[in-house]
Amino acid sequence: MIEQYMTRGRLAGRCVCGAVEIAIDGEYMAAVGACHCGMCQRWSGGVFTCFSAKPEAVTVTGPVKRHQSSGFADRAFCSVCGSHLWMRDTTGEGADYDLMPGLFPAAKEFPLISEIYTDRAPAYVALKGDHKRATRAEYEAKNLFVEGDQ
Amino acid sequence: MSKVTGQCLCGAVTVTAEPARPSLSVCHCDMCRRWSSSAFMAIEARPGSVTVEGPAKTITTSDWAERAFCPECGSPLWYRITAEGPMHSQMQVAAGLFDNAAGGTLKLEVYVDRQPAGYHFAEATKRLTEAELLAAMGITPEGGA
Repeated sequence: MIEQYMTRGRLAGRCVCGAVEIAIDGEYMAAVGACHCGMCQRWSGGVFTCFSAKPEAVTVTGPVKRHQSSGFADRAFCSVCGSHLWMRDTTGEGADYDLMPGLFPAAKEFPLISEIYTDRAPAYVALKGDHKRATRAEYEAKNLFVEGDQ
Repeated sequence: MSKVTGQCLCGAVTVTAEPARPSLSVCHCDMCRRWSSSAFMAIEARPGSVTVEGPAKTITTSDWAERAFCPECGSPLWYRITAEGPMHSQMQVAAGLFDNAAGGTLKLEVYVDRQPAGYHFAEATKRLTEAELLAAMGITPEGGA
């Protein structure tokens, strides 16, 4: 189901202040997922969304700061303006980038296809649609997770 | 309302604020989406009620507002209106800093004419376009947002 959104092409993105630019030239997913875990809520200010791109397709220029937010992932942002850039698995080489759609004007058209940690979603974040949803338990049964994250 | 205390992802910054009302707003403007991955969700703080501990970094992002974030982990902290006018110095504090957004409910969406096609909040909210919001702020943009 997810595979149908994988595509190839070019996308250009930048942060609020313009110090960081991200170019995609290659394979990426033209669809958005949302996460409602406690860490993503704090980091995003409310609702965290991302789309994935293959590492060989991604070129980044500018002052990127990475915050290792768990034993298996870091979160990157522009050190000048704080714009969020991506989240990425750090346990091995060559992990996909989970990029922030807000950086890329073209991503305005991407559909929302999944939500995870739905049982952790605050009451104020209810997203419409019949997309795939997974609770914390359903997600953690198949993926790395942070012990005790609320 | 009583004061609430929240913190950024890494815990370096703590923000205490008194919500102006028990509701949240969402901004869909291009800058808020660039800054926060998607929609920026915030609580309006009662004027003068916000106190901050830690290394908050502030950046001027337009002729009428500034934004602050944690320079350690990048969590957004607030959006503050710097322009003179009816909303001068109003602070919109990032909802995610507070447990369950201090219990607020989503009541307002702004820049709805800039909203992405891919997702929609389920709540019935008051919805303002860019022009409607800027008129309420007393701002006449030159060249748009």
